[in-house]
Amino acid sequence: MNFLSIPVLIFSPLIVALLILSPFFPNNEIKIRRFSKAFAILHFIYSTLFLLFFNPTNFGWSYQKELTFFNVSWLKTLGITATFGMDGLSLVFVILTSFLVMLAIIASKSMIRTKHRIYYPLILILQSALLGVFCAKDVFLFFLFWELELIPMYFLISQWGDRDSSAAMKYVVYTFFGSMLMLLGMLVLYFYSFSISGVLTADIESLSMSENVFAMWFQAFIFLCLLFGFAVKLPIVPFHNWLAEAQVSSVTPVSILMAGVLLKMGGYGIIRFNIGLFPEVFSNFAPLLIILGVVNLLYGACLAIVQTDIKKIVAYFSLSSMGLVLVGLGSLSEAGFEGAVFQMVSHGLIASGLLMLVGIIYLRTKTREISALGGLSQVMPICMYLGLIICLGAIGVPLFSGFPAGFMVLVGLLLSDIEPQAFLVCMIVLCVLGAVLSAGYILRLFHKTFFGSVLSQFRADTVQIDEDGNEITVVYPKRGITKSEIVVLSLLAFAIIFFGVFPNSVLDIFEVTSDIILDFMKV
Amino acid sequence: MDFLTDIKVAFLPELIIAGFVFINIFLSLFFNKKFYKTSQWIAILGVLSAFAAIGMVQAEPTYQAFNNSLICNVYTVFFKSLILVASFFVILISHKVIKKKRAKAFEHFSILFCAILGAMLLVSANDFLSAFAALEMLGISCYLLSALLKNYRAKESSLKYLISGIVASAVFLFGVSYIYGITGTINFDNLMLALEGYQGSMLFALASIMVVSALTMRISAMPFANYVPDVYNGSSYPVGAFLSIVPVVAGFSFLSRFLLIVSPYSPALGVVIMIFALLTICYGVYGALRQTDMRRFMGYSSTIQSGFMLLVLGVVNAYNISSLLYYLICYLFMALALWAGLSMFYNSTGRDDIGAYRGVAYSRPFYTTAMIFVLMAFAGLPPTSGFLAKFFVMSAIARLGFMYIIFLLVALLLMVVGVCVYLKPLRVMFEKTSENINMPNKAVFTKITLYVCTAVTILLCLYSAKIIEFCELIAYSL
Amino acid sequence: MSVVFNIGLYHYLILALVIFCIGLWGIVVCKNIIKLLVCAEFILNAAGINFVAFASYVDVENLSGLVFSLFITIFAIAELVLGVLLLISIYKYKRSADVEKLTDMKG
Repeated sequence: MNFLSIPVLIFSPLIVALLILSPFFPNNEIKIRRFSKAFAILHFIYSTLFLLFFNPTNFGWSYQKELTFFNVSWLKTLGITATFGMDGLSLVFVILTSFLVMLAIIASKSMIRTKHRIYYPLILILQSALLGVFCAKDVFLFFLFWELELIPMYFLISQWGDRDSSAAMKYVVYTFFGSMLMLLGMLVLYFYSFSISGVLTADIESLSMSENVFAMWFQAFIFLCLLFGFAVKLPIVPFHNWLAEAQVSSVTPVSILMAGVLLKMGGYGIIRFNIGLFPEVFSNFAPLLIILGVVNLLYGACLAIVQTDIKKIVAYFSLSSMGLVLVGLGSLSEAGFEGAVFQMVSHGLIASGLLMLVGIIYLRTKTREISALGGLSQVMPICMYLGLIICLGAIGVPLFSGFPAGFMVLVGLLLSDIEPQAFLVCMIVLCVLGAVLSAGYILRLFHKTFFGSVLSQFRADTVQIDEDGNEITVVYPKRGITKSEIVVLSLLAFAIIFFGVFPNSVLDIFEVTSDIILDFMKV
Repeated sequence: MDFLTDIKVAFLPELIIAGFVFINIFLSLFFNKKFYKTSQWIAILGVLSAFAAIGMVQAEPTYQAFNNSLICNVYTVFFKSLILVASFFVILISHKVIKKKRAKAFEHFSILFCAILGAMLLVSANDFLSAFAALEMLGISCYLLSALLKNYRAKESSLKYLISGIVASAVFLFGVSYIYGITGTINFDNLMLALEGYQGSMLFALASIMVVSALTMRISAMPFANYVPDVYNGSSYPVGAFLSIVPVVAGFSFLSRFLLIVSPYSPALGVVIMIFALLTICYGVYGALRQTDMRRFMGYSSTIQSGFMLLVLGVVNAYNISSLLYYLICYLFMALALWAGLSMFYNSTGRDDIGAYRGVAYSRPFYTTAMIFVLMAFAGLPPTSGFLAKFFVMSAIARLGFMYIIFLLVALLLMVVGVCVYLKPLRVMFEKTSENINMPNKAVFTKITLYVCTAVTILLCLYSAKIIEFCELIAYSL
Repeated sequence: MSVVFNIGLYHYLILALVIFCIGLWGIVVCKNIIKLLVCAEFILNAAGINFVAFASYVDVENLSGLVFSLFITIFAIAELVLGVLLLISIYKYKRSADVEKLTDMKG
């Protein structure tokens, strides 16, 4: 298993990105695209190898490796090292990341028209940063990758997509604001554990051992600082403003990565830091998190119902789904915890699928207004069938991946030890209400776009007037959808059904990890 | 001869720099018109030979020279080498300026060397008298340097610089006179002895605050920061680079040595300094956000960076000073890279407003890549040394205790706004434009400066363990 | 009737402080560059008075304050020369020595 090295996994996208940027690489759009596609597929295969050789019953971190620079640790004098490791939880998100990056690069074929030379490297750098976040075993290494993700994301949002909007800046400011408070919490944690234990270290495992000696209010302070950083990313309701705007003004593959992976960074951070380092505080704050989660769920759903822009509906769907994650984590039970993680994976797939559908529709009709769409099932039937699977997953129909996630969260809530029972029952009722609302807006989205009378401008081979006033004949490709789009949609649909039927295939990976984390909380 | 041994043992670099001041003046009498290009080579030779001489001085143990008015130890040697490295790159990028000056090229370099000499003496100063003399030497040379361009703006900005400089030195002198009155000595070593057992008083704290606020003039921090953008705007790019680095480095070296002595006896000094620092960052961020001229932008930007450096001096201990030293190293290289990048652009297009950079990303990808890294370093984003430097500074404040959390919080929030400031030029660079930007420059040295300093900025982040260890070593030697 | 003033250290210090304040106030309110330069001389020399006073009352054996005040005078002259130089070249452009007219740079 020596060929499985986490630094290679993390930094190979970065190196490939630099290779594409270097002047020796042919400046040919097709070559760049094919090269990055081939790399992304290889990378996905490589990351699945980690799963094959992963021992799910292994306690603690696997594949641990410290990266040194000419045999010198990164910040040795400060006790900060560039150590990477993987446990079941990281592995799930690593595979999700490289899967979605692969799909995003495949989808870019029809979505990206300009500046390929910069676009593909940026996506790959983003991938490096994301993998780094999920594999970092050192608090400040985690922070470094967390910040590193901002830069490619800034350019990806601002350069491809709606150029006039300030969404990219808003995204950066929100995230940076959150991450600064996170840094505050991390620094305080780091120095106070040093002042107590006398060992200067930023290793997550060693820090988690030393938390019990702090006063409770002090732990709560650090906890809230960290939670704030993750809350902006997840997003939790008062800080959700950037999400819809960034989603709407960015191009489809970028929004896939944003909804599919970037939001999960927040959830991963809450599990790794807030639960992993402060189990006691977390169990005190759990009712608050459940309430926040339910607010997220309902608020997102309500906003999604009133939207007329189909991409915004999907954005608020993401907000609503992340509420379920919070509820699951707050329930403090094994089923709830596993349901939350499963919900993150499943939402990654479903939101990507929905965004892909929206992207495909927008590419052909040049509109995202729900009232201007209709009858597309006649023009692009294959798209409709695949879209149906994805929408069913989003609603949470049994046998699709949305169902086990939501179901486990609710079961977790039911089994939770939180008092009083009436509170839990209320919350369960509200969660079910959220699920019903989600069925409402997702079905509305699906129905209004694919069914109804075919609007004349969407008929195949009709004459349209483009922006400059010239008459052009819009020729839809055969079956209304290109090959690369079919690949993306069907892979997502396959994954949604597969995880819906065999949820254990994901749950088994991180079962031991979740046991460890929950054991901490019980003690 | 005591005097000569002092020079031979510890002050050879200063002697060489002083020698080159006279060489330049002498050459300006004879070789003005024709051989102006050689002036750059002679200046480089001067800096390099001074750098070589630094290796020969006795740094361990501390050497006291000239009746204990100047000292030489590891700390001063470190700062002197920073100053010389900065001056080396500044001379490299002043290629275009001497071409424009022609007849005055040698004189330009003689003033520049005077300023370097003043900065190096300020680093070494061990009593208030030599510190004052060095400050004035640095100051007067800087006023002259900023007045060197042949236009009205240069004169106006230089006058503003001069007036605020005079006020600053008067405040400095007033503060020093009270310290002198309380302790009866102006020598740092004697001062330390005299202060032993001193209870500390408000008057002493007031005197220290006066000295510190006068020194903020050199490090372009509040309350004496108003002149900075004007002066950078009025001077040429290499001079701007020089002014934003060398006085700052020298000022911080003196400031931390001064604070090390007085801070235990001055109640409230630390809080005042931290408030100064936060005000400085606020002022810089506010100014930079609405700036369209790149040189003024640089002025505010160096104010922001000085604010972050000043923040750690609120409490003086080895950890804080080592974080300051690391920040200074990083700041040196990123500022040099950014000034080189800007001057490269100015030299080929002749424009310095931010709008001129529209669409540079499409015609000059490598230039833009370097600029992205440099601006990211200024903003404090990874993977550049700016991130690590800011991180180090923040960790130094977090380490001080829970009552400093509020300062840390404000500084972190200001960093968020700082990111907006530094992303602004980047955003302009990526705006679509129809006009093709033509940058036909052959300025090899400027390019070398830009790319080398950018590479160093990134490497300092990766290879930081050794550098930080080194900084801690120097901080402990203080 | 004659009142004998016993002049001590504090009288010098108060004098210096008053001169310093006058100079600072002048720098803030004066509109003319020449007046500004004169006020600058005021504040520098106020510090000089402090040094001389302390040298003769506190530090009698070393008298380093006297040396200091000598240096202050020298550098004050150097700065004044530079100031006048800049004043002349500004006058060439603007035909005036009014500070209010120095508004080419803003922001």
